[in-house]
Amino acid sequence: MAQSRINKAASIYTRLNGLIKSNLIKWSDRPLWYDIYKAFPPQRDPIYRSVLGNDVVAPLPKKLYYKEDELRAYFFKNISPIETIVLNSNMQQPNWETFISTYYEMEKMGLKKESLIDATIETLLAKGFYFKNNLKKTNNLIEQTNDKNNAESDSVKNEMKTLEGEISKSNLIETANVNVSPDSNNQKL
Amino acid sequence: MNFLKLSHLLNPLKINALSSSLPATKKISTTVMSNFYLNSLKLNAKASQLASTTKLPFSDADDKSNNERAENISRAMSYYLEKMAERESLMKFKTEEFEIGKRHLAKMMGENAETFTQDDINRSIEYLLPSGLFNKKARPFLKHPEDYYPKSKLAAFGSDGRPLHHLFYTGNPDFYQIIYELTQKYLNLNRLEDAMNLIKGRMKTIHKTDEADLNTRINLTGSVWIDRNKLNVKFNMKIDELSYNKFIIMLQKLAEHSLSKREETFIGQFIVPFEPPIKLSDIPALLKDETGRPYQELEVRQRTAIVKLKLYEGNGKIKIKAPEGNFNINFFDSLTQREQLLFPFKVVDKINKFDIEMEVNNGGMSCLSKAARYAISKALCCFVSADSIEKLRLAGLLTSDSRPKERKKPGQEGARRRYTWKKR
Amino acid sequence: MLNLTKNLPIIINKLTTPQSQKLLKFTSNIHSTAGNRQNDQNLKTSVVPQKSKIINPLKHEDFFQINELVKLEDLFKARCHYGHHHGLRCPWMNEFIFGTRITTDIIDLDQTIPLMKRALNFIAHIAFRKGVILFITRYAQHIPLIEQSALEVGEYSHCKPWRNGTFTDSTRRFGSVIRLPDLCIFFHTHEKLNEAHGALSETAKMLIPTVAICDSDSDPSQITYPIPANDDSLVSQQLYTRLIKEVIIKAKKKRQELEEQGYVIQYE
Repeated sequence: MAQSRINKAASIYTRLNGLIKSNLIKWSDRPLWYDIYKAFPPQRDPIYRSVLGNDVVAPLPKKLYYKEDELRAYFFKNISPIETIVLNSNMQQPNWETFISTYYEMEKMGLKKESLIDATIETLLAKGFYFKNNLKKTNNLIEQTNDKNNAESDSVKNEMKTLEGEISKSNLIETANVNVSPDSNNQKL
Repeated sequence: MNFLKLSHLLNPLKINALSSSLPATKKISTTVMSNFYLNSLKLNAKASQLASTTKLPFSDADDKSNNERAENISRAMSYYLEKMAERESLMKFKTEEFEIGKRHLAKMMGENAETFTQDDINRSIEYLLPSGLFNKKARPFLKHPEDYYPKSKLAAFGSDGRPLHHLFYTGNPDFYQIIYELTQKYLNLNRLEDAMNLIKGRMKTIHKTDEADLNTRINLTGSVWIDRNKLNVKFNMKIDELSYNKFIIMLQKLAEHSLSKREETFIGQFIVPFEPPIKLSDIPALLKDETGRPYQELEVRQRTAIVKLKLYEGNGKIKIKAPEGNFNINFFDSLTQREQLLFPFKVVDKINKFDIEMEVNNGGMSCLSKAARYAISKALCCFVSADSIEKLRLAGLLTSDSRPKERKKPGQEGARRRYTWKKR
Repeated sequence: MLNLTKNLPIIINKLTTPQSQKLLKFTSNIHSTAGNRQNDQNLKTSVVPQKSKIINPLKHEDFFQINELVKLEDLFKARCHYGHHHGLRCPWMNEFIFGTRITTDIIDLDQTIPLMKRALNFIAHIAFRKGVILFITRYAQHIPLIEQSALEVGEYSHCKPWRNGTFTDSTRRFGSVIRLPDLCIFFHTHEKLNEAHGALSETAKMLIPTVAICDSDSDPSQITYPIPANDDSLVSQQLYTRLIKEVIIKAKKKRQELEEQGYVIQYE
């Protein structure tokens, strides 16, 4: 097929049109796509553009930030550092997400903006929430209640350890005897 | 018989004669049109002529559906048909010429033209036109044109111009088809393995040394991958070394899969049994002395050096007979050359258990010692067990060094060395 | 809903007003989704005038019912909105990007959908006219998928290293005059990192239209029907191949059916 190979000058459609007009390609010899292109033209003429040329580049896209990002930043800076997430396991909702959700709940209740964060922390602590206490800037509130929680949890932990020793022995025997059926495995995965 | 071959080439493809009979397209100014377009116009005109006379070699075309722009679409096919017709007429002409040439030759040799075979032709040409040209392809010949003209390919596309193979546009569909099958098989095995592991209740892939699963993996001991030339011949394709190496890596990966035994027939296409360089059956039997002592005789040449060896069972005596006189191991000055002689015995662990008698001629010292080493290890094969022969092979003692002497260059003292040069 | 549709055929017989005819069309759609294809076909054929038996598919706005195929939710689930790091962005992709979220570009799927529909429509029409369609990619992970899908549909694929002149010097490359593809579909526009695929310029030179999936780092300006979407993840590639396969098969079947019914297809 005769064609002009100057691919950067114009789109394929206009170049083909030129060839047809000047009788280099017969109307009956036009390629398959010509009619389809004519009936359903693309959004923009597929012409080569160069950044150095006169073509106007669209403005830079905006940066995406949400209200939750602010809250999250506050949380990591002032309340508790970021924790590792194991994507493989079915972990519970991470710390900061519960913080944000409770924040929105409190907001719906109609509290003032300044007191909102303190209120959310209070409610979370009241629920028995445990914050990691690695930061210097933590609220006094958290320190006090964390100490209490720790003291409670230590006593519980000691009891658990003694129990675990007994359980682990019996567990070992049980797991060895279990025949894993294929169906149950499939359900898990 | 060179003139016969030349006459074959003198006749062009008769394109000029054909194209002159076509409807004139010269009126259109050629400056505007590209040559390519002109050719295609001619082709279209020809296709209509050919279509009436020749039949298609296949019948997958439904003419009804291809009515729209039929001329445009069948351009590739018409070109192919035209080429085929050209070739046919050429071959017809050439075979006639060959028959006449054969008869002339038979007459010259005074033999019967009817019973004159190809062997007779070769013999008589060698007699009439003896040639000392190094390259055998350059020597004069007379053959049937089918034997030396490139064979015509089957069309790779249908009458509507659509290629028959889905990887046609890659340019090497035969080879890439094999790779495509290989990858699909590998992925299928992976899927199967995952499913099986789910049933067995383990998520880790089966370890390579897992004995229970050795039955499911293909066993490749005693075989090697097919080499590139054989592969090209077997599947009738051309692949370069780079893609061949990649292909072998892929094959290796498939073969190492834990379930590769399922694809045994596929992998088996690319496997050749391993052939050791020295077969046990090829090793000559031991000779016996007048006193009944077993020995072996050998002659080895390397570059200009010639070594005639006799190896006896004994206790480590060495006799070397050179043109200058008789010597023992002291014939070789440097320690490395002496070690070369002993090395084969060291590998088999039989130092001081054989006597050597050598006749040495020509060559430099290192070349002689190397030839002697090869001769000794080859002769040793007759005495020792198969395991020891394998040891010798692995040590590289059973391969001869076939490198010739590098030639002296003009303007230089030797092969590499330059003349000493002083500025003033 | 399902119960309603079962009872509907009885009601339809009684309805004769123009409003009721609208209802009829509506019900036919329900039938088709419920898997009752036979009724659907009968209704469609009755729309076409049987006297002339001439059909021009280009005059229909959506001849292959592609609008139903593309859904925003599918695209989102297949991670089609993920772009590259903003530093890799091609400036001509700015208009298709929704925003940058922590250095990563997010592609605007609202713009992707109409463009994708347009491209799929074009592919379907080419397949309907028995054009040669070539699937192209150089992304190693996707090659088996794309080669396989091209084979399933009865089209062609080129996923191997591109040799310059495959299109522009085809007679020498292939040893004879060949039919070049009528459409090239690029599933990935890069041959190596940061290097455009060699076929892109060659298709433009040889007047071959292109459909390409353009990630935020690829240049859409010379592509006839660009689809701004993620081209790196396997899940999204599976979606594209599924859609394109579906569309091609649909077009080919439709052609066969119309020919069997004795229709004459004209484009002018």
